[in-house]
Amino acid sequence: MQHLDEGTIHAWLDGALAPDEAARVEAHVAECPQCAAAVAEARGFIAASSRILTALDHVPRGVVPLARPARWSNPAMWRAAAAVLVVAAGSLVVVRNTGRDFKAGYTLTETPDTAPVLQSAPPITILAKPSQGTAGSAVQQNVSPAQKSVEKRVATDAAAPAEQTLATTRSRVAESGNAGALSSRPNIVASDNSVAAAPTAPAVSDSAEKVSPASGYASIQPARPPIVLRGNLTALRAGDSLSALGPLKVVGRPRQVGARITLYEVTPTDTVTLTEFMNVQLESVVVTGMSAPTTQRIEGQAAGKAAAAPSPQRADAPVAARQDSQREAGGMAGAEQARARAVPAPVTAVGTANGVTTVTWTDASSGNVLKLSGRLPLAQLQQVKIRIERERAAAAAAAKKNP
Amino acid sequence: MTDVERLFRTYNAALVRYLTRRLGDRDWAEEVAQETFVRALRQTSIQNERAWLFAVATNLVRDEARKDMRRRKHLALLAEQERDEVVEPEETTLERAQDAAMARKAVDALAERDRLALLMREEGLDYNEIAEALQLSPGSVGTTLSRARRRLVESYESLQKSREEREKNAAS
Repeated sequence: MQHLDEGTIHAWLDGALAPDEAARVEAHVAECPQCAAAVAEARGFIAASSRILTALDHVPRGVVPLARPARWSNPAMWRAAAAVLVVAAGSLVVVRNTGRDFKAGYTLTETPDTAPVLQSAPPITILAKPSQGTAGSAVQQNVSPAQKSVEKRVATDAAAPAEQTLATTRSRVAESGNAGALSSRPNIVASDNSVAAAPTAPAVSDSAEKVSPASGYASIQPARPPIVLRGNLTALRAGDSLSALGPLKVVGRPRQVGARITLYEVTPTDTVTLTEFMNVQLESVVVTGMSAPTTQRIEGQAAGKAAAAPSPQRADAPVAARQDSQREAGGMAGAEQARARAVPAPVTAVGTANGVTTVTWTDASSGNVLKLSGRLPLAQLQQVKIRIERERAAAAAAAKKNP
Repeated sequence: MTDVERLFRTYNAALVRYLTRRLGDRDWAEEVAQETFVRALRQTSIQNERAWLFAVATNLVRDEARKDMRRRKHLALLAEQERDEVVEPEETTLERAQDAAMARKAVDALAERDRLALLMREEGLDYNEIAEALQLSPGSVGTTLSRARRRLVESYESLQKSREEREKNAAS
């Protein structure tokens, strides 16, 4: 028999031969070493080619891209998603960095036009007048140097309910008043005045010093609308308890361009951050400041919280001021408003974000915007604010005496 | 279960594997396989199902390849170059990718009829089915397969040898 051809050997190994032919091949392979070697080789080829073809199964999808252009949208979509992520992360950083500035910015930009601010101004104007000595305005006609006339004006201008409030307040003061509290009161009121009245603060505190302590609270308090007084009283009580706590510990002063930052330690675990924005920066902040609606929201928030807050001038003042302007119909109110518009009046804004409470207000002596923030309840933060203001006032007074 | 559903369940895996090995692209292979089953729907009766399906799939590939062969060849070349250039971080993946690339080269080096016969055989088609699908005489299938296997293994081994030499040169 002839030697087996390769095709027959493969057909035999693949089981494709008819039984009789397969038997013939088997018999030949058994006695022919050459064909046996060929069969062994063929087995190797079959196994090897199977293995090689298996390697073809590990093909990536989409090796031939143009047949299905839709597949190219996948990488594009990934790129788009990545771009969105980058932009989102970037804007988050920007918002976080500018968040502080924008809060400060609104104070300057929005104050002159907002009604509560205008209406909280009148009492300050009256107090400031005598020391400023401006002549000829409608305001001045109403203001006499003596404390009495101021008192009289309040008495005539304020509505009956307001007078009742004043009486109530007086009796509350009497109830709570011990000697120490009474003697410390003028100072506190003065410092509160300095918060409220931006550029005229020295005059205010001067007049406060003159009348205290001999004439007591009554001589100062009528200078402000009675309803405002109630707020001062709260602050006053808080101040009394705070006075025993001693000075706040300064734990750090991180540097920042355009702002002075002071870290105060309230308790070993709680620190608050006081940021004083310099006027230079405020100009630029106005440009970058965000939208008015946000500001309005904060203002509303502040007004809403004011009843509970220790300094509720903003919430209560409009009531008195509106009565005021109704009675005087134009004249004085108009002049006051004009003044208030020219002077950046004080604003206390309160905000809470991520557990951090922030109080923003305008410093009376410097006109700078101050921002106090910390992980504290609002009431506690307000107390810290009063302590800081007191310390700042003391430091300013010391600097005045020893230039 | 309709007849096409049964056909699909019985033969889809083998058909897609066959086409993937033939085309080097699984997505393309799946599309051709689906088109093959769609054609089977229109058929009133099929004598040898497996042979018919592999024959139709093979013809679909041939027709499509004829249509835009040049474009596909160019793209396949680009893809291959890209595969060669890509250095994968994991050694196993790299090795596997290199094996696949060499296998692809070796399979592409075969004559079309040899390649198809071999791929069909790997999917379990018997000699008569292969003969029917490829319109060969049943007696020549053994010869075709033996030639395909020998050439495939030889070209693969020569590719392997040249790669080893390249690596040796790169190391020294």
